[in-house]
Amino acid sequence: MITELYLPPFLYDIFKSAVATIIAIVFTLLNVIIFIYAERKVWARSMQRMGPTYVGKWGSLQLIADLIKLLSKEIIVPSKANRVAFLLLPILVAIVSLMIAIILPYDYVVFYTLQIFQPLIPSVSYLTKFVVSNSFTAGLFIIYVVLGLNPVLILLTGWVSNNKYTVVGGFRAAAQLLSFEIPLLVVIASVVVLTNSLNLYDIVNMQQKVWFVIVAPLAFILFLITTLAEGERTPFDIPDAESEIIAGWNTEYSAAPYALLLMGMYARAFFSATLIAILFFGGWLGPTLPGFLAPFSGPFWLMLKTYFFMILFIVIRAAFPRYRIDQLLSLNWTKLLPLSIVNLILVVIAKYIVLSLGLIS
Amino acid sequence: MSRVREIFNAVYRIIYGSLVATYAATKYLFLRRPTIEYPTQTIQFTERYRGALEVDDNLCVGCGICAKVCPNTCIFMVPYERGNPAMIPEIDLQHCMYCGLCVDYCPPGAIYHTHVVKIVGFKRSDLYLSQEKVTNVQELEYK
Amino acid sequence: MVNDQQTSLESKDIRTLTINVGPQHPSTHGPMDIVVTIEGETIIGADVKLGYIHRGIEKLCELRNFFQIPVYLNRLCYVSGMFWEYGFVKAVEEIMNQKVPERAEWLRVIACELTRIASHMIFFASFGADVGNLTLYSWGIRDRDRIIDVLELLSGQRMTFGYFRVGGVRYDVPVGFEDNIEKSLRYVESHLRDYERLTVENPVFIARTENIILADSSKALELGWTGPLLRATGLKRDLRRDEPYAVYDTIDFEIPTGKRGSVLDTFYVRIEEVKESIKIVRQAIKRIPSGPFQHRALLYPPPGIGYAHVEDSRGECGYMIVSDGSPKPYRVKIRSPAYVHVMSLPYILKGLKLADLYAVIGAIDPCLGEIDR
Repeated sequence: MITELYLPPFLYDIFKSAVATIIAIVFTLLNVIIFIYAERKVWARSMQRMGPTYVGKWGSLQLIADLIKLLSKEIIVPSKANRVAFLLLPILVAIVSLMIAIILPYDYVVFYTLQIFQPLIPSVSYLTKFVVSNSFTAGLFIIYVVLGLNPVLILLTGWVSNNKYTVVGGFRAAAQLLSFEIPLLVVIASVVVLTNSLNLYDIVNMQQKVWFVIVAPLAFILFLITTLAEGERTPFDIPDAESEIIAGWNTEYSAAPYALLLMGMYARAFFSATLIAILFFGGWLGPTLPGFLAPFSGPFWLMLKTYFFMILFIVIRAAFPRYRIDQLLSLNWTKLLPLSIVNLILVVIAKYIVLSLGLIS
Repeated sequence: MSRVREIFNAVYRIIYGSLVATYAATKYLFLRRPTIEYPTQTIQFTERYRGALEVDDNLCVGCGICAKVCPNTCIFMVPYERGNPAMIPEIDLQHCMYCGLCVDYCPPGAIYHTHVVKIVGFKRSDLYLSQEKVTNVQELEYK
Repeated sequence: MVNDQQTSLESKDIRTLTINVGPQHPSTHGPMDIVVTIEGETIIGADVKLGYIHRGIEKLCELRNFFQIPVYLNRLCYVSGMFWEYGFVKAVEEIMNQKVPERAEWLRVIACELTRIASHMIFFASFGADVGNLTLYSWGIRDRDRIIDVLELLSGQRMTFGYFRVGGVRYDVPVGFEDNIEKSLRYVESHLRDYERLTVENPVFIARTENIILADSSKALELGWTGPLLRATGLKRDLRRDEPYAVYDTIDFEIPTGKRGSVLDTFYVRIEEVKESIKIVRQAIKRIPSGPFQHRALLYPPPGIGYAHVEDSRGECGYMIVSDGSPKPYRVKIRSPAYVHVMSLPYILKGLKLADLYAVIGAIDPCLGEIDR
């Protein structure tokens, strides 16, 4: 590539990472829009009504219209609130939520999809060198370290709004997120037991003979439940959806800050769906697509599985009511945490069975 | 032993319950929806549906029973310009509650319900059916 | 013995917090203000403030003639309008000793039972919205719409029916009514199984509603409860069985009861009641005799006092009419079941958690139109 000739190596690395990061973030934002659109349509369908249909064919441009509306409204800051913190926090939440987009293999998805055009534009094959996400040797770990900032930010968001109800809402949200992180990390540890590696690419490559959902089904179910709770989705969405009496932590946010908060929330849910596909369902492994679509088969299977889990999240939202906050926390401490430890033991046993069968290298 | 059975029962009910709830919500993704897109499609009213009132001035005799019977006093008898009948009802559609008592008690059956439900206006007098408008309510319908 | 002083809000303890569950609700009950005093997470007192939708209907009845009043009364509880017209008409017929033809009695039964189904669908819808499951809201409205279509075929309007007259009903059965009813009932029945799947068998829903005990049967009787709430505590009290009116004594139906008086039991009772109402309507359609649908009746009754009560979808709705021989009644007193239930909220909310408040309000099924009148 031209830049290989003219740039010193470390600048070339920075250039590669910058391109990959930007592509990953743009791809995430695009998928967030798809996710919100799918949520409105699929949830509406399970309620037996149509979602948006008016703006664009089948309502596809409705989200763009909503985004423009949100961005064009007045940003209201409560009078006694800390103005700098109030306006800065949604940006921080959005940054923290989008930061992990580079660790997940979205740049792989985009660049390998572009390989379809290789017969037409031969230089497109250089883009495969721009994939950065396989260089994170501890990718899974970094994801949850970064997401661990979330409870603090949400607590602060509730605090700076100068509203006694949002403070309580922020505390509840932080309590929920912090307590559900523990079984989540234990389940992640059980997956790492199977693969001895925290790199997402290694985890997928280990699943070539058998998917991890067959080796450790209990881990899959626990991961599904805890990641629903981390993403603040129903049935665990009491801090976010109109928390009945005590207001949610994002009540005071109005236009563009609200759009950022919403985007962060849906981005986290999208990442959770991708993580389930990668950790348990074999990521981008699947039958190769025929003909000129061959390089596209990896991204195709990954996004197919991701979208399947996205729709599962939405259907779960349609099917279940909300837990009360104390039932939620007691569910976590009395049921999920012991089960995750039991799961760890079962996975260790399963690993030796599977190793002896030769299904994992 | 019964304690183990209890726990097993509880776990089974949780798993089964979650699965059937998800199934129930998913099932409707594939069924035909009963909703219609309102401005472009509308439902048909039944025959008896009580929409806006209309007066047929060939049948009306100007007795004024409709005005007396109306619970909300929204019918007023005024002298008719055409002369036949001598008096004709003017109807205030804002106060009308579409109960149909005037239709039931009208002796010649001159006042009747149409299926007109979309009448809009900028002034209050747009919703007051004066003697010119009360004989032809279909024209006032918003299209 | 329930004591008024227990629910007083004059608490000098500074750890308590008074929250206004204000007139605007995120669910469809209506404007009602509940002032709860909480200590930590537990409710220690509540006060209900009503009157936001008071329209002076009892006074309005004194200013209108007897034959004009039934068209107003379906607006009392607008989700179950037929029962409110029925009570008034029955009370007037009692003063006048008016006979009603049998065909009209059967048509009244059909109209009432269809309205009961429609009203319970609104209960499902708003209860689902209260606990956070908006799918149930949509389904409730969808099924109610089918039933309302049938009632539109019968009476001409979808919510403000105006179907009852002193001495019978206002219209006869239209053409194609039996087929329409059968199709609509089958449509509603096919979805009842999904209601059960989404609620009574759903572990999150059960966890949310099972352990909230509203009252046991003796306390419920003390508080004056009637209808599905009383049946949820275990007593088998139903006006259609205890003091049969219309033709209910010839129809075969069961009275579902709950066990402990919990919120889940109220839900269960109402689902079963929908099934029983469907059974009643199917029997009635087959057994309607031919004949007139209206008997001649005087426009206003002679002087006297009459009381009539019907089994509304929320309980016992009663009318006491005092007539002094003039075309307008002297006094119409309306007994609304939801009013009794809502005013017993201070007694049943003590000791419950704040997050259960909406589930309890939903289980009581208030319809503010009849509460405030």
